Amino acid sequence: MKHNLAIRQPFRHGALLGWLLVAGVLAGGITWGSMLGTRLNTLTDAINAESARIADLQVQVRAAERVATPKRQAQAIMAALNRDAVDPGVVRRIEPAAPPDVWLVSANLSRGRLLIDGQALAWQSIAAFANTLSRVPGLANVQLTSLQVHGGGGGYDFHVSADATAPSPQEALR
Amino acid sequence: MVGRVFAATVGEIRVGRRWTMVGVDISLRPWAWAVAANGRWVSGTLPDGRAPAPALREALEASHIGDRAVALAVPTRSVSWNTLPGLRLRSRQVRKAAVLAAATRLRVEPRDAVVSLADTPGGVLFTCAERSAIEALIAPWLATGFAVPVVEPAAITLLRGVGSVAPVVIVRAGEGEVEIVAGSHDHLLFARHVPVAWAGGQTNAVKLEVDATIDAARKDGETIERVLVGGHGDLDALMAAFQGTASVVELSPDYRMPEIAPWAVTAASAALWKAAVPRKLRASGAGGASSISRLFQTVGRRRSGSAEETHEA
Repeated sequence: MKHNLAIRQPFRHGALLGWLLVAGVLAGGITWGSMLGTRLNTLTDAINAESARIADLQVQVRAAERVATPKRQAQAIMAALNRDAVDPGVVRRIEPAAPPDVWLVSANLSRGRLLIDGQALAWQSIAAFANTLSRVPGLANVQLTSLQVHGGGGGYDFHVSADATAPSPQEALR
Repeated sequence: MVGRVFAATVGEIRVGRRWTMVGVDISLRPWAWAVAANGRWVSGTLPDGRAPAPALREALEASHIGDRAVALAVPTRSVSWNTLPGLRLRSRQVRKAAVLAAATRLRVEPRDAVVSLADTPGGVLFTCAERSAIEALIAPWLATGFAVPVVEPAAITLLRGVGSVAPVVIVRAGEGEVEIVAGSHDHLLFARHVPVAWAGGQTNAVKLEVDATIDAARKDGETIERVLVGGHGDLDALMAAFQGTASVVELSPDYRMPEIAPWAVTAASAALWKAAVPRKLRASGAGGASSISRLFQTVGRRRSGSAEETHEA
């Protein structure tokens, strides 16, 4: 058997606890803000350091580009020469290859392709001419593309095509 | 100053955190206090003529006891009680009924009544008091900085502390007053407060009151076979006056509690207000059916020495 007639006392420290709560919140906010500011400063310093490093790298890249430009230009020239240029000396070596009864009407050298039109008295001379051309330095893939009897008298019209190889580097730069 | 302060070594008593109150009995003069601290009981009286709360604080400090809450045993005449027969506390309507009954009994508004309920074999026993009266009783203690979580009528505290299963009459003598309580550990029958002049040889008047109390209990179907006498004053003369009425013995609990003086039993019981009654005892209703009895049985077994007087102020 227990009885209790105690009266619950009103809580008189509400205001004090309220102020303590406010003070705690303020202190916590200040502390949090200080920590956040420190963190932001650290991040800002890190960003600045990275920016300086990036600028330094950019300077180094530009210097490297300046050094590499002439080489690239030379490489581009060589690539163009390899693609388009032919050996002009080929034309000079065609004439000696022709037999006495073979006349060259025209020779067209363009983009590595040599086209020759001519006339001959005998088709054997034409064949010999084509055979001789295939051994001329700077020519390859020599083909006798057409052979026709010429007009009213004897003789033949012919067309020869061949691949003109690129000149040697020494000749290209000369 | 504080009167005699008794302390006793009670062995390895383990006073839990919930027993951190100091019991103060203000129902009879001189007022008494008791507290379990550091594995022993310390008790004392509070003198007249000065504020009791500062005196208690000084006494606690003198005994090297820290700040404690106060369980106050108030005069039974300050409260009123009644039984709502056939009810149990499980119903929520019981509290409303008790509050209304208390307000009617006290003739105050329900919000001005303080009510406490307890299950008893005959129904729900409610005690009630006017809120202003309770506030007046606890005000000095609150003003001194004590917390007062427990306020209980002294008669109920005393009966629970004695722990008698059979109804008994307890006569406690104070300075110029006597309190007569009838009941058992779970049933309060009567409580009377009688002013007496010990110098005038009014023990016979007290005997008449006790006889009337026993007769009234008999009319209620309760047989009183023991009269317990304790308190201050000439107890021998008082006990001699009751001879022939019933078995007269000195006030002590129905279990071993030699460390507590008879006049401090109420205060000690108040200090143990939060001590729960062991479930086993509650279920069986065996003798000494209170947690206090179980506690002091354990204390008695472990007690290593007799009481010693440690301080006198």
